[in-house]
Amino acid sequence: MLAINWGFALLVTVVGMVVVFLLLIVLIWIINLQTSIIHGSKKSPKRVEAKVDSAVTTEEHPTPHEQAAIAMAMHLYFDAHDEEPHVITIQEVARRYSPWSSKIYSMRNFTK
Amino acid sequence: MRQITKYLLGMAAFIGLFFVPFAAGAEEIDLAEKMTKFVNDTGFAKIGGENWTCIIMILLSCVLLYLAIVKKFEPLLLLPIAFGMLLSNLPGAGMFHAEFFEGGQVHWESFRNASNAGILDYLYLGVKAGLYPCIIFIGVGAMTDFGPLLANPKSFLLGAAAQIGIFVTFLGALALGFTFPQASSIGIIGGADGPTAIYLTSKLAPELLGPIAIAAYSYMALVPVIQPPIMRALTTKKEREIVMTQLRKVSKTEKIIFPIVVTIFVSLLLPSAASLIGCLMLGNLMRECGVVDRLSKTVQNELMNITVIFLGISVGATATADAFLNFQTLGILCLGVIAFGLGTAGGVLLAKFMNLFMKNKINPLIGSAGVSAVPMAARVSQNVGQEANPSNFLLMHAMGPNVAGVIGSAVAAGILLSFMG
Repeated sequence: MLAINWGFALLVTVVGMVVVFLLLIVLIWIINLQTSIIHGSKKSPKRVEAKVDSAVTTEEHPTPHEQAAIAMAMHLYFDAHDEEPHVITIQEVARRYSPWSSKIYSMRNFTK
Repeated sequence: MRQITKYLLGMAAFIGLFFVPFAAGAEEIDLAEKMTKFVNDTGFAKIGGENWTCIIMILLSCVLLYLAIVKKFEPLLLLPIAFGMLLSNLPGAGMFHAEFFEGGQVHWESFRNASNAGILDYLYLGVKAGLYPCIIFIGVGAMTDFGPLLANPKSFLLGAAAQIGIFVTFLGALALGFTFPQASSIGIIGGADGPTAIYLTSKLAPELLGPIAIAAYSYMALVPVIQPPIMRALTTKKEREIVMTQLRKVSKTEKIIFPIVVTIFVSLLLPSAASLIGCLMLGNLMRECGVVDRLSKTVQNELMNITVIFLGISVGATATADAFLNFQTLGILCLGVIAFGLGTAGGVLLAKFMNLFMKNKINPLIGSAGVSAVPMAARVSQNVGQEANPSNFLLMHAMGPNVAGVIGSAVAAGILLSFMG
């Protein structure tokens, strides 16, 4: 155990952790920069409209949970089906004969 | 009937006449000697004597097969690994020769005589060249959605913190008497990333490839067992109940630019990590750009599956009795679980630390997902979070540190490779 070069071991450990953190922190910065460039260029002409809308809807209200609850309530209110009796019946036809269902009118009548 | 008898006698006479000249010139063969040779050539005869350890390895591979098939412990990899282990430990089969790769070098002269080399020797060349892990990384990239990470870039910090397990275990392995390259390979188990562990070990300590791969994949399968007690011990119920704000929607442009930027930046800073990060990001770019759907589907399915089979069998083949049945393996298994535990603790503790400064609190449970093991670790965060607050959904939040962990462990592997390689 004494033969191990602990100085080098600690160097690898410290440099390793620092490089991992630094590299990923720089990636955070790059992503934030990329996001701001992309969204900045897209949003710039719409910013005025967004301000007008901000009075009506904010990011916080309604929260996603509230939105889900409202959506569910609206779905139940508007889209709910009528309650049906679930009883299937075959109604007896009272008057069996009708010219509309008479076969005689759908067949050729040979006079001979 | 008489006709048939006559015909058969005629045929016998003809065959006899045909073989007389050959029988006259045939050399004398000692049948007893041949039979003895045949019996001695069987695997059963070779099991006795020096090769008794093969029985233990065969039993061990059967246990691993049981874990893969019945318990479903990472079966996609554990099954080929266990079967590769079984094949290379069959006495007399000669399917894998560790001596062909002794000293970390490929002894090409051994391959010249094709009858010397077994099928697993040829398959192992892909591991030796670092080919399989990189191909798998292309597939992993094509299956990974970096959206949650882009929506919440702070997740990168959690992915970085979870890598502490790698470096602390590296020190622990040195203390146990492993060499620097071996300790680096053992430490990378803490990254909970199979291909990265195999890639680094095949470069630095190929003699430990079998035990390290088995430890890495076994512990990855045991993530739902290892992580929750650590997560509960390090957090209060109130912290586990924290509900995080919904992630923003990430545009397609951001998702396309991300892999290109990461590849350029990381490869320039750490060229030794370029092959892993480059392959990961290539796969991701194929997925996100939307113009090479066929390639994306291929690397996610066919190419990935074929490579997993080759990788699993050849890595399992390295677990021969000589390489596996020793105290080093026991040490690797113990250090591996410590590495996982420390990585989990590192992520959770950093999340708690970040909460001291952040306005929008993060649930510390997502920190544990920083130890790659995609998506198992994220699922564990979700499950432990829902135990505390059933209406809490942490899965997508945990996917951020989870995929950050993949990048983090590849970077850590690159650092170790540049120091030890």
